[in-house]
Amino acid sequence: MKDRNILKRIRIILSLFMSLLFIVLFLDIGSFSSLGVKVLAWFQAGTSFLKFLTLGIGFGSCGFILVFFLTFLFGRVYCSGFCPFGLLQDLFVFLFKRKLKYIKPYNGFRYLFLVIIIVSVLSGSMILFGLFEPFSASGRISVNLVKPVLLSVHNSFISFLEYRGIYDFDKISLHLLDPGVLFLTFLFFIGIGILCFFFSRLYCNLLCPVGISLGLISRYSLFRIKIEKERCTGCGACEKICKAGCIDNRNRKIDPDRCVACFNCLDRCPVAALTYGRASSGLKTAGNGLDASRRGFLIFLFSSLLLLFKSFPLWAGQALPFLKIRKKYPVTPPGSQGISRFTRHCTGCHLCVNACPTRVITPSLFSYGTSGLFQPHLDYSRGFCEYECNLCSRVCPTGAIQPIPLEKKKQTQIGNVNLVKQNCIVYTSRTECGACSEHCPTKAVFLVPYKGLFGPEINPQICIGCGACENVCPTLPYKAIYVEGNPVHRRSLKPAEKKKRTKINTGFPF
Amino acid sequence: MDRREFLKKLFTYTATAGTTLLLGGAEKLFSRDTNARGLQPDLVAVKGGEAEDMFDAGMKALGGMGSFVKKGQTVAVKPNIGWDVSPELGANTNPKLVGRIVKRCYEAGAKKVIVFDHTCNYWKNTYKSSAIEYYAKQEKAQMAPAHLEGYYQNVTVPDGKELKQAKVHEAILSSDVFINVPVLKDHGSARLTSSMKNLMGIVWDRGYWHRNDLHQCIADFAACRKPDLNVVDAYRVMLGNGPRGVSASDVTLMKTQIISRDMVAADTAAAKVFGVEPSGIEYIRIAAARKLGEMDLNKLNIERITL
Repeated sequence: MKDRNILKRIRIILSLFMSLLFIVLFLDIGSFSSLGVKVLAWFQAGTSFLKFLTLGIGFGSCGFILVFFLTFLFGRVYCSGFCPFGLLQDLFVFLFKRKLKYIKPYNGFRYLFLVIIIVSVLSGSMILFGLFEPFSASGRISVNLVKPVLLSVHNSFISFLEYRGIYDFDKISLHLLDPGVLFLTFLFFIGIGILCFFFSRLYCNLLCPVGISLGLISRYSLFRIKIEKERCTGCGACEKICKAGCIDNRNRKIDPDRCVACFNCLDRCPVAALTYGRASSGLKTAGNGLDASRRGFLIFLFSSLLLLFKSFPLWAGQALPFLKIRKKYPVTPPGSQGISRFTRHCTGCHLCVNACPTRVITPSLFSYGTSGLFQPHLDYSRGFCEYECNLCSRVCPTGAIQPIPLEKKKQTQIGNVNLVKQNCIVYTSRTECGACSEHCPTKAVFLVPYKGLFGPEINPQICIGCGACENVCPTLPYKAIYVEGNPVHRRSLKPAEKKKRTKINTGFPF
Repeated sequence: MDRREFLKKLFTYTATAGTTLLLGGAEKLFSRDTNARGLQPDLVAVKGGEAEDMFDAGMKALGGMGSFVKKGQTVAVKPNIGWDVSPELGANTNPKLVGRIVKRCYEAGAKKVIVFDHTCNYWKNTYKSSAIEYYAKQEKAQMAPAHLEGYYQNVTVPDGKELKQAKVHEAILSSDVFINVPVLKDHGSARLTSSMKNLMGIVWDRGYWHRNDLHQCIADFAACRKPDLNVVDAYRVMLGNGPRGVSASDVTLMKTQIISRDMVAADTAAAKVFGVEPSGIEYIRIAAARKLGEMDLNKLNIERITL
């Protein structure tokens, strides 16, 4: 029978191929990311549904419809073939090689959990959704845990080459990530490993908002795995291999709601009682069956989903979240339009953190208070937002950072400059500095004569809040110039163009 | 005794490159007197051509690249690649000029030519949009990265008043010949950026300079590793909003180039081309007072070439 299990083979080949793509996506910087996101994140049900809510229906945001449709046809093939977090868990399960058992559905818990997530998203907090949404969780693990390790190996190899005088390859600077983010991501990673060790892919049915939602569709799927009760001897071979724990050997039932369509069980049955085929052609009792109370619950669920979509604009004017940092407001990436809009759509997948060439986009735990966990902000102590770059807006899978053309970005004020003269070198040490003005792309920071020197002055109207001035300001211990985030991004004025000083130099002036 | 002192200093800070430099320097001493054209100029000023042609004309006056680069030597070329802008905006050195310099180095027998700068904007984009990467690689130069602290090594700055130590890029430390190729432009706090100011791009911690009297640090560092050749690119000159510039209206076409071994002399001449009084620029004054170069252009043998 083994060689007959073509479905499993297809699934494995597909998942290996997808894993490869995900590795490239999460580890590459810049060039591939924006294309990779378009292709790979497109059919990520969680993020693309969010993008649909953000940007409305469009080609870029309809991937989730395909996933829903596929689920309705073939069951949760997304979970075993396309979900990066599912692939990670499959890897764990494969490595542990444990005997598995049937797990009770815990419907009460999981549906309540889903409702809580939906309600929290509705009330403007991304903490739960961002934490458990599988694509974002995988992004965090790749960017925060896997990438630094790989980069260290890469950089030591390049060091070796450079030592030999070969400069054709270059080192990539390591992320200096937030220790809290690192710790929590590590904890999450270990946690999922432990969960996999004991319960295989329990996460997908108990905690994953995408998995639980897809389960509601897959219980009606046209194709599914069925047990022919007459043939079944109750040997339990299938139950021992079921990663979702959805095969109940004692009652000879498979729960189509929780089956992740890995097809591992198909070739395990010694009497070939397991088949994959049309739901209606099999025995009616194969499914879980819906009773009245469940139906009511489902109606409640779908109506809350509808409400989620419908009520989104209503929450736009919501009060700003509590901010813990010293500056009043954190700076959100250009294209995000403002803090509250950003925090309501960002799941913290860290693709923008990965794509940012200057590493200025930094994840943090609580910069946005209770609005979200892991959501990144621009940390100008690490770098500044490059004038000629809009990569983050091109990689965001949820639309939290909307695509923004360079010309528009150059006039988008994400924050505003503040000058603290009592910290400035020109005023305190009476020596020249001017680093801030040097780096300012719009000359919103300019120099004026001050006691035989030149001291900085600011023109906030043309400032775009890129943070170059703050980043390069050399004063210690406190910066003399800093950027305060704009809670809602504004449009900056175009810098005035001075008339060219034409200088016709006929001879040599010496 | 200036040259001997110069050689001594070179010898102390890099043991490996020291020996070759000593030999190279000694040869220069002889070539100066045995030159067929008679006394070699201290400074060459060229006008009126494309940047790369002006360079060729200027080098001819200086006895060709062969008097700077010997067979088998490694050359570090340091243009200004500070900003992620196109060549037309004049914030970076003319890319074709850099390409031509690389070409002439290889023709003179160089083993390897390395081009780099510690950029202000994201280095990869800056190397690319300045077009310097393109023209340098076309001539088979190696574009070295300079974006991580690991590429820099601690060097003592001789007799530094404010700057006593600096971390210098290893490409400079391991090369036999150092060619400095600044672009002439306006600079907010330093007034003018030319040869001496361009050396800020071979060090790691520029913040220290800004924090501790910028002009003094620029002058201090001029004693550390004098370039063997300075080529000041004044083809397109940014007259305002420097050093980054905001738009093309900041830039004027001047089609000028200044070539000299002496940074102070080159910067003095460059200031005059730019239209400011050299004595008004503090770092030039300090460097001249420390006898790191000649500020009095009347004392120099200047060759003026118009194409």
